[in-house]
Amino acid sequence: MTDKVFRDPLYNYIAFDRKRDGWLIDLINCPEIQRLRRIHQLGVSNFTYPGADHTRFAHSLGVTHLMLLMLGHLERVSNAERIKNARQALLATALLHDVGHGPFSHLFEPCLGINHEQWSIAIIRDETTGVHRVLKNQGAYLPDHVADLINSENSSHPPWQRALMSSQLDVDRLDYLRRDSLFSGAGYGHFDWHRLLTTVQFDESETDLVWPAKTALAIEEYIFARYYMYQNVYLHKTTRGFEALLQAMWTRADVVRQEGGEIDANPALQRFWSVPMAAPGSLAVADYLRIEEFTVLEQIQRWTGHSDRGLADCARRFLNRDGFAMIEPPPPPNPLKVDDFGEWEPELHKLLTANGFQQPAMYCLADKVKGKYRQPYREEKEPENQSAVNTIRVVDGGKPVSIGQYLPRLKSVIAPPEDRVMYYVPKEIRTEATQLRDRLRKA
Amino acid sequence: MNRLQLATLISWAGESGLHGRKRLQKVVFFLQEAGCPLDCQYTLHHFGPYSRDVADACDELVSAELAEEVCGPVGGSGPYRYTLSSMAEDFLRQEPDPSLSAFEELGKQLINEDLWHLELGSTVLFYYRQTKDWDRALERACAFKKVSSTIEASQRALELAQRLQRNRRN
Repeated sequence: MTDKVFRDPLYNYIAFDRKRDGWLIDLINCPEIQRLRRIHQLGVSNFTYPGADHTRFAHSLGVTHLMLLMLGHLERVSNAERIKNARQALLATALLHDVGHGPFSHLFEPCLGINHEQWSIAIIRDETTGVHRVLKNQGAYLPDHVADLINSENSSHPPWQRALMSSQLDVDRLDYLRRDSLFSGAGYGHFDWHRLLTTVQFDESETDLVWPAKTALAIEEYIFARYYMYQNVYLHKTTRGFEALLQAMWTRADVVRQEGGEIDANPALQRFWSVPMAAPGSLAVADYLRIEEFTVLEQIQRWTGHSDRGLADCARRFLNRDGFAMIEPPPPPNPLKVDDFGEWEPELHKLLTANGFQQPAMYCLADKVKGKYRQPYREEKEPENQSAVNTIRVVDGGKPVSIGQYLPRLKSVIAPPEDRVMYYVPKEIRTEATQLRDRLRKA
Repeated sequence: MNRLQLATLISWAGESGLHGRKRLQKVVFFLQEAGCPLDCQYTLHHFGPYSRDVADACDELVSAELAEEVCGPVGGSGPYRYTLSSMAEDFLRQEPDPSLSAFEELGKQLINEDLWHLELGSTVLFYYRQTKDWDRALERACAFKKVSSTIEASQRALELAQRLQRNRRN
């Protein structure tokens, strides 16, 4: 019996053994997984990097491939029975970890008020979904085990199982960094992933994961790859601007809707907006899965002709890639209240109104990036609080030490950056807004 | 948890400062369970509930020179100690956070609580959230921490967890 093979630009061949892992192929063929072919991995990053059109589906296959490799390695170098017992759950978790993503991945979560992790868990537990049926058919325990491993608050399973999937160095990150680098064409994101995969080992407690000291340079490369990718791709100012625009448009539609206006919603979104909360339990899984990128884009197309001027203008700007200008605000007067810029926003609103923008809140978009989202790697300082989940550790002289301690030169890269707030305003008022900012800086 | 909230919490520790990142983790966990609006996400760690949000907020405050971090006391390897910088103290005096004032007394009690009780008690409470059964939560927490559930310290930790849960403000 031949393998089921996917061609992939990162790994060339991703092969699944039909005899041993035939169930995994059944899982891939489920509609919920196939839906991931229609979700962009990087939201609207393709507005900045035209090649960044890759999907959650390709990423999920890649993560599963890496999990297969890593489990194969651990099976060879440690207690094989333990690995075999967890193998199905971990492979399924790798394939299904993003199954709950909505349109444009993370980007759309604040618009719809959704949390993809909650939806992944709901889809896996819902008895009507294809993925639930395949998992249950394979083992009655599997849906719960997989859902538990995806649930970041759940601790029912050994730390090493969670760490493989979700930690400072996990198969998810190993795939997306290189994949996003390749498809964006940004050229960063190169590191010795194979060494990272094939040198991981259990620590003395046999419950957690560490790396040998000889892998330290590969880990350093990986941390730098994350640093470059965050600086150049994930937090690119153009992408962030379109993300803010999309959120502003959605917020405006919600305001119009709540004020009793007609927003001309298509059926999938109409259903979505008819429930009080966009969370599992309030909205049926089947209804959630009907919301796709094409649903959202079709809705935005409809709004280009809407009677609400702001909504129509934002929709048109989004589809035509007519973005806003980014401007750095003046420093907050009180460093303990970093979200409060004093007179800046009220003055900016006045400026917008004076320039004919009648809904200034829609044209004054604050983009807040928490420091942790700009930090390529952080580690827990106190050794006794460290684990694979919060710290990458290498074994030095028989004892695990954090990579930051082992390679002190990493200090400047892993130091916690501050939260960053940028504002996006129409290009028409960029000069005046800059003058206003400079005036407030001096005040 | 934002800067103002963390600075408020550190100020409750007084001049000697807040001792240990583990203590800070558990104090925030308990305060949140008591209804304090700190909005930190926790997972179960070797040493009980752990939140990256708390660790990040702490590092950010130090990085912004609003808090001072001292490693000690023995050869620089003991727990970290946190005190507010004079600049942060000034700003905090000018604009205190009214949303936390109702939790000040509880916060001070927790800061001065025995660390092991905080560690085991928070683990009990973490399991209680999942099981809604105190006996099972204590049993699972003690198995997780590899201690007997019948010793006095375990019972004290259980009492602490129950007290916090009972007094929860919604």
